[in-house]
Amino acid sequence: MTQSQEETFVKGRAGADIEIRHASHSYGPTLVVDDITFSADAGEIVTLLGPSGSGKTTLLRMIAGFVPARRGSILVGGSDVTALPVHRRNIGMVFQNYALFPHLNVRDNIAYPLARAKVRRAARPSIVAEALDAVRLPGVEERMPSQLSGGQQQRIALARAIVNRPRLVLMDEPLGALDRRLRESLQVEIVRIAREFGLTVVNVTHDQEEAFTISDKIAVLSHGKLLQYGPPEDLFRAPGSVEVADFLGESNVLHGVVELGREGHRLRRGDDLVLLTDQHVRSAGLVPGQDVVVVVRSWSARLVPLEDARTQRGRSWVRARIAAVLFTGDSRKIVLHSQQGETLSVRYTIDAEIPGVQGDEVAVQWDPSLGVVTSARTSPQEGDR
Amino acid sequence: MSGRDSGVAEVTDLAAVGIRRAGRPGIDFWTLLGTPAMLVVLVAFGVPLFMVVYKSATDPGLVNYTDVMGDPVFRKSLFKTIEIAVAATLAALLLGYPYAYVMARSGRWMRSFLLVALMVSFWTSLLIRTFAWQVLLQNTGVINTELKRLGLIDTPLPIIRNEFAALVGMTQMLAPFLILAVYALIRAIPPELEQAAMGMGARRSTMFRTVVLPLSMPGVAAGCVLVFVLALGFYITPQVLGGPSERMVGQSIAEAVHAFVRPGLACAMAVILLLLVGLVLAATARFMRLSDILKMGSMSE
Repeated sequence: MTQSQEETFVKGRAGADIEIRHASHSYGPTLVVDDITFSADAGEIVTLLGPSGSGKTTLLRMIAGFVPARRGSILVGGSDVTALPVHRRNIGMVFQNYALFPHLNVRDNIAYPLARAKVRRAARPSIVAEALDAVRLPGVEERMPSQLSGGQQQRIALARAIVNRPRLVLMDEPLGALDRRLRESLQVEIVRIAREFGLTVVNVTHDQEEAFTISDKIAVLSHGKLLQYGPPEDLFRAPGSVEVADFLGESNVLHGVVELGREGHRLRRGDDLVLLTDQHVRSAGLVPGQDVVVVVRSWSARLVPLEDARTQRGRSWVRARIAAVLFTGDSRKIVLHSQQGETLSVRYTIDAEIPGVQGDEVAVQWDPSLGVVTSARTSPQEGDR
Repeated sequence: MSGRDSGVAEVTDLAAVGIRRAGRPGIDFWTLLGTPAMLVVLVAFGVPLFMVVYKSATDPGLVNYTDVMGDPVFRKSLFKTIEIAVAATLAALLLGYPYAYVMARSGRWMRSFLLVALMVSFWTSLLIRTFAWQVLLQNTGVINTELKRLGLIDTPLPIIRNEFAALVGMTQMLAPFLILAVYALIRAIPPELEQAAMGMGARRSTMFRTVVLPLSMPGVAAGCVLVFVLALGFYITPQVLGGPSERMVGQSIAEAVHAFVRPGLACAMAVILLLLVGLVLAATARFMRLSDILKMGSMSE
């Protein structure tokens, strides 16, 4: 590689856009990745979010090339890489267990991709030093991985993943092995580095907080299917299904049958008043007699005295008894039992006053437009919104 | 002093008594439990070993050693032993490493199959395996008969009663030790290291050379030393499969006992062989922990 090529190698490249088209993979008869389609622009951080067994790791391995796509295709920078062997895909990888080469010192670890790309030996140390600067860990070239802490090792892994400016950086639960504080500071670091170098990142996690913190787009996966894809805020504000809503934050799931009352559509639930907005009725195509589920976030609901709830108009409420008030560090969680036997939870900030104590009967009240409504017995919505 | 304080003092005294009692030598529970095993080792290994060393120097005297070392036939068999042991080690490495790698990295079913295949052969008596090789290799054996039937050869191939046959047999006996040593090391390499390397632009062969090979080196070294040391003491396999002209030390020892009826001489040979093994292990101990090698050796027959 010539000098000018090396300059370009170091400075000129940025991440590529990525497109997944109808990607599928099966182990035996089970579809672990089932017809997934989405795309992300160059420089975006995409998170594949889902519980274990959702297919998110398999999808990541398909993008990397370790697992073949049985159907569908994967495009990076506009060109189809589905049939390309792993070593020619130009990707950087970060793993939960860091995957640093234990027999090589930090310099040789970070220089590994450079050596594979035939960068001149003399040019490597300065490129390595630059990468170490980028992860704010300069001067550790001579150390062995085992001499570094977990957080430091993951920074080195990050430096190694970005040193040759890959078109795609793939991260498999990168922060899973770190403690909470380290995780939070590294989340910020990952975003900063990705922006600084214009990297396209595909990240896999089951931690919704991490997904919200670092992502431009989130793909929510469950049982191999893509439930919803979009910016974190959209997902949070308008989850397309109960499953997504449930997964993206602590929430309450209320069952009931649709009926037409004086106030318009509502759930038939004893004294409880669970209103359905016109928007709900239209988008979910609700008809009286239908079994539905209303999902309300713990942070969206408030507690009010029952008599106040009965007199206020235009708000939904459910009668419940306070079972416990828990202090969870950064907030208070109030656990309640509804008359229908559901366990509900409501969140308050630490300094907020809570209208009631354990054993009190209160109304859990919320703005009907903040609830998400879906039919109870249909399969979760598929694909893009 | 308050009542509570004296209570504490009492507890402390009791603890001190307890420590003193535990510290008294000779009656510790685990020592007691280990004593029979230690006696067995002493009687079964220590005493015979001492007798061998003692006999080599007294029956009839140290002349055994000068006789042995002065005997060109013995010297030749000593060098032959080393030569065959080296060859068996290399053959075991060439066949065993790929086997170990495939076993470590294949799926559950394939791994179980390879492991069972290995263990079945490992647990079959060395004597039976040796005679099985004889059945395969001899002039009227399976291989020669089949080749003749297919018209590929007219006269039987010379694959029995020579160094080649001894080597084939010994390699088959010893390869499992090396395979298990290397397998353990490769299993300890996280597959993510291989994936990371390939993701970063290494083709499979490059990845293997730069990641798997260096990380499995301790297993290779341990396996090789183990196979070499075990090969030095082989007797039955070279006796049955090997030729009359190239003899290993084990065979020389047997001859000294049976043909020459000079047990002292045999003992001297055994001591020399033992010293050779000790030398190899001492040299190895400079580079790695000996207990790691011996741990794998404990699976030996």
